Amino acid sequence: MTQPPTLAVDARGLTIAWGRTPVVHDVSFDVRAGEVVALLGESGSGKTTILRALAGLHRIAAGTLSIGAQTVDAPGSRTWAPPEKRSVGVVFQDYALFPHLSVAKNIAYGAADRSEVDTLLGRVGLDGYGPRKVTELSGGEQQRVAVARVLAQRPRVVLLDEPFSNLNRSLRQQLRDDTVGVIRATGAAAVLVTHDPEEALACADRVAILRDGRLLQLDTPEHVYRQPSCVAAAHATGDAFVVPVDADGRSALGPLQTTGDGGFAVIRPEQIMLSTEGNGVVASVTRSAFVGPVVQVTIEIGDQTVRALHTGSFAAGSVVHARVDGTCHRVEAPC
Amino acid sequence: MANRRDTSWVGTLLAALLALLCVVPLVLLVVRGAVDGLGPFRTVLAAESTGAALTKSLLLGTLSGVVAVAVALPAAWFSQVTDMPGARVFRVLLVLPLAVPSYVSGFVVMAAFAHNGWLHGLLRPFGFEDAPDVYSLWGVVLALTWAYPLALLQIQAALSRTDPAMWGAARTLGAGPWRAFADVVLPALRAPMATGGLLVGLYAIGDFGAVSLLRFESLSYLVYLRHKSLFARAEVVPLSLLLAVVALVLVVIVLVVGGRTARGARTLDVHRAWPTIELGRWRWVAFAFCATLVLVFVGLPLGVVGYWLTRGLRLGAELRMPWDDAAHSAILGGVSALILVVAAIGPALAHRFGRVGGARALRTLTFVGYALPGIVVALSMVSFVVRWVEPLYQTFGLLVIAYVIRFTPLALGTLEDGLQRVGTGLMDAARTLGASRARATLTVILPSAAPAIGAAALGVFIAVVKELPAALILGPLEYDTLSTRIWTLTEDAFYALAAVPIFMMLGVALIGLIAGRRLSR
Amino acid sequence: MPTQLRTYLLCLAALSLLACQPSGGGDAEAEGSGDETESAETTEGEGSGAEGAAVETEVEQIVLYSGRNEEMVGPIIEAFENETGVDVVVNYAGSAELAATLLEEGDRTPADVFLAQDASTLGFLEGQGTLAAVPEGLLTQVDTRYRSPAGHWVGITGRARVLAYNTDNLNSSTLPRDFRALTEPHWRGRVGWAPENASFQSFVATMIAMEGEEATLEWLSAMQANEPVAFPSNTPMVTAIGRGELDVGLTNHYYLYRLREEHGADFAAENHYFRDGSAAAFVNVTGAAILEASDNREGAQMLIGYLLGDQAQTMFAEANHEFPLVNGVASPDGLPAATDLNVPSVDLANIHDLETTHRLLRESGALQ
Repeated sequence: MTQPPTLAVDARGLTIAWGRTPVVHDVSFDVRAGEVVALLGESGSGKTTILRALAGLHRIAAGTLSIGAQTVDAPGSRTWAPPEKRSVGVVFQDYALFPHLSVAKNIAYGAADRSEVDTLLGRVGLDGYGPRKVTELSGGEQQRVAVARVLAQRPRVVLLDEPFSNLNRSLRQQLRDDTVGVIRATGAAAVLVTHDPEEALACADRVAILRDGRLLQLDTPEHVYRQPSCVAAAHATGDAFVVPVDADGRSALGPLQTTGDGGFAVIRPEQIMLSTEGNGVVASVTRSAFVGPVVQVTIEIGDQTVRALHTGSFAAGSVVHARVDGTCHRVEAPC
Repeated sequence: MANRRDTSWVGTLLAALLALLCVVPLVLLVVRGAVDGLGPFRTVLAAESTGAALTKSLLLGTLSGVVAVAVALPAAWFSQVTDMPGARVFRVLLVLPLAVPSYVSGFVVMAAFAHNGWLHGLLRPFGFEDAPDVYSLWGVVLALTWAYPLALLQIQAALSRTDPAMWGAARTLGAGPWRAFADVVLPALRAPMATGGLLVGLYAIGDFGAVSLLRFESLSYLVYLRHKSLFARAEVVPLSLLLAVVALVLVVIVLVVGGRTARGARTLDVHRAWPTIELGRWRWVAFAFCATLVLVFVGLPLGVVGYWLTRGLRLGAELRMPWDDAAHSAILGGVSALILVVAAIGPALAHRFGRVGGARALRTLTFVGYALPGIVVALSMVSFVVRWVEPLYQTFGLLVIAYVIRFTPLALGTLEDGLQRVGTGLMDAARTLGASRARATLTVILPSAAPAIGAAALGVFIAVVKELPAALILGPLEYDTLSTRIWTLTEDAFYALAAVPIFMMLGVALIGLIAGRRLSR
Repeated sequence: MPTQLRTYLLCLAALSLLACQPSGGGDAEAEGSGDETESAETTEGEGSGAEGAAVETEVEQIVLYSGRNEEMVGPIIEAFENETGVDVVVNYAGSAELAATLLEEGDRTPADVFLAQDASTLGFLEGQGTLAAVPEGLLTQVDTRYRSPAGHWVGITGRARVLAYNTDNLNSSTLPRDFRALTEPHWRGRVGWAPENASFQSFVATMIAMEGEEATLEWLSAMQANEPVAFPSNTPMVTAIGRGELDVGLTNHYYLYRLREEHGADFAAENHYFRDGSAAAFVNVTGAAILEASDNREGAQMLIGYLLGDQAQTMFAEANHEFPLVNGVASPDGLPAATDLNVPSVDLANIHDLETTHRLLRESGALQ
């Protein structure tokens, strides 16, 4: 008889306010043990507020919040556990390393077992950095120390607040993969707050899309990308073009294969195929931008401006034929 | 995310207690005034000398503030952001005049600039028969200009917090350096200039060292005279209240006109260093300016006192090393600094990491003890204590209490400035790592704030060592400090003997100032 | 949170204990000084009782309020401490200030002995009942004119009023013939005085006793109209005279010597003694008195006795250039003999009316 595994995070009906102004409205989600959930949204979407509430740095106004089996915040029953009593670790955006302590002492600060410090250093690729001063480290090194420090406390949930945004592009991807890998290896659950869709889609098992304090969609990366629940959700995960479509799938970009319900279809740039002749809607090219792997070609169809991806570029003003490949998901008007 | 702080009740309580303590002298004065009745008030208000003294005090305060800022502004600019030769060294040297108390600078002004003084001696061969009259408003303003570093420090701190990108923007938009300075830098410095001017102005209004040496009858000097006299003692209270009103009015005016202080202004998250601004030929002008300041305000006192010493030795004076007085100064300074820092750290932390109810009002109240001249604070306490709290009369503890009252804003200001550097994230990080608020404060916040705490303690220490009126009036019998020793010696023209404690005090203050600068970095 | 508060308050309390430093000599006479002091150890060189004559006494400490400067009086007190093994705690301040303090402290004063730099302050306090009787044996050591007829204070040393003058700008022939001449136009702006100073006020009180209120007021007003330079005390005045900033000044005789010691023999000032029996030739005294509120009469009398003794008198003469008052002790070198001064025949007892003095000074505008 298997017991259902306890959820690492169970958030129900979270309403969170700053002073009197509510900034998060009735958000519910869960995180299973060992799972990585990304909270994706622009600034002001409430994602960081939710993270701070999870950490115990901000109290919720309504709803219940549980970490593992422990109810940590429930205004209704006046339950609240301060941060130090929760099994939660936080990697802050600016790392918040303690400047007066060495690397090793930082990591040992909340450690469950001090002898693990060296092992952890090895795991994040900072062997021998123990005695160094944190102020001498580079951004990437500081980030890794922050991760090691959190892991040392063996939390049930690791919260990451845009931890890669301060790093150079070249570092970002590598560190991202390393960090998530290390966290997964410990079996802890993770909640990653980010405004970068690529980061969310790449790292997470599930993505929660937030906007203006509301949860738009919570699903696997593929589903949120390919089957967004609404226009806003579609825009949150990448470039998207929303065109009206009739019941038979006809649109300004020609006939579309659709799933779902609604009067609008979401088209991703990579779905738009361009050719100089052949079938497709006639469009004129406004500009082509070579971005390295592909060329972004901006075309105009009637009064719609759409961006497509192509291997080569087209001269501005030239005429091309555009058609849409693959299935497009239907959505209602913006939610 | 600034506005979701929880009110720290502990912090508010502590801040309130501290503020209450700082208001005690004013309350005592008012009560005593009420008890004494209107008679002394009428005498004082009717006396001609009162009106004259009032005008003199106002003039003194205003002029001193203006002159100090006029000196400090270019000094700060040149030493901080330009390519003036020796800028780094000047950054430290220019602060050192603060080590010289007014009861020493008064003598320096007399020795150097009065009739038959050094300047007179230098200029006489060129046909200048008359020396300038230093026993006047300008003489006192000069003697009090030694306090210009109070303004300098404010401006320097603000400069390092100002975004240097604005300067670059103005210049690339076509403004010459003078215009860029006027359009972009000056507005940003308006608040620290006002605060600095206020600090010097208050210092001037409350001073009684220089004014009595140079015989300038300001209100504070009048208070001192009345206190020393046999029959006019009753006038001390109304005069003190008048002085208090003047000081507090000045504080209000400057706070309103100066606008937002650093508390409300945005601080840069990342310290962006100013690019070195090139002055071209003008750098030698800047150098001459700063060198003159250092020569006059640091070199001259050392020279004058050194001259007293050597003259005394030549004439066979038996010099004494006032180790006891130095020890007393050090203990008094140390204990006061310790107690004040411990008392102030609570409210300062609460203000930084939480919220203190009525923070602004409480902060303004703490200024009362500072704005009131030292002699007024001391006199208000002495008559109350002798009557009602006799066991405290003439004790060390009473003196420490007076110093806490006097120097709270000093400690609070330095602490808060330093705590700005300690990110709020550190507290969050420590707590999420499993530390309770208390443990986080002790193991993370306080160590990170150690430089700020050190700077605050040093600031108070130096202020206490230099302080004179409270030590004279409230101190225990036979408990001489360096300041009281210097005062009693110079009162009776024992200059050579006085040179030794003066050098000792300058030494202590200089070391303290330099160390404090290091810590505030 | 409560734990944090508790620790914090404990810290503060512990530190406050630090503030209970021994307050120097403490106020041994006052009723229980609470948790403060009682450590009668001063760091001044006091005898541990082992040196000098082993005086049989139960007196451990004497509190002295001294209107005379520490440099002048300190060495003599130290000698006393060494000889008797008794600790003396001294409050140094101005005579007038101390008198006012004594009045304010009332019965709670810790003081045993008051050493004032002029007779009128003492006389004033006597009139207020603040002073106790000085034993006959001490009183008779000085001439009757230098002690209180009611026996509440005794003079220790004499201080002569002089006109100090700048030797570069004036010589003895250009000096005024008497002090009244200072009101003449050619002295305008050239005369210095110290109206706040107790010695000056004694001089005015003497003038009142000799010539009456009206004449005194007239002189004061005329002087005030002649633009005198007012100084808070005598030292800066005589310094100014020596520097050439001022031509003449009414002061006491011994400041000249202190300043000569400090500035060197080329200090350009000299004393002029009027020797005309006028108020300006008046010899005032440094006087000592016992406080009525003192519980330590034995100690007080011991100290005063010492001050009248040969050793102290000689020290006063040699170190401070004051006139010893005890018969049989020589005047300091370089000073005219006290008998040569032609002092006015005014009883010091008659010059205690400081209130009138103050009134006249204010009326004339000399004192604001």
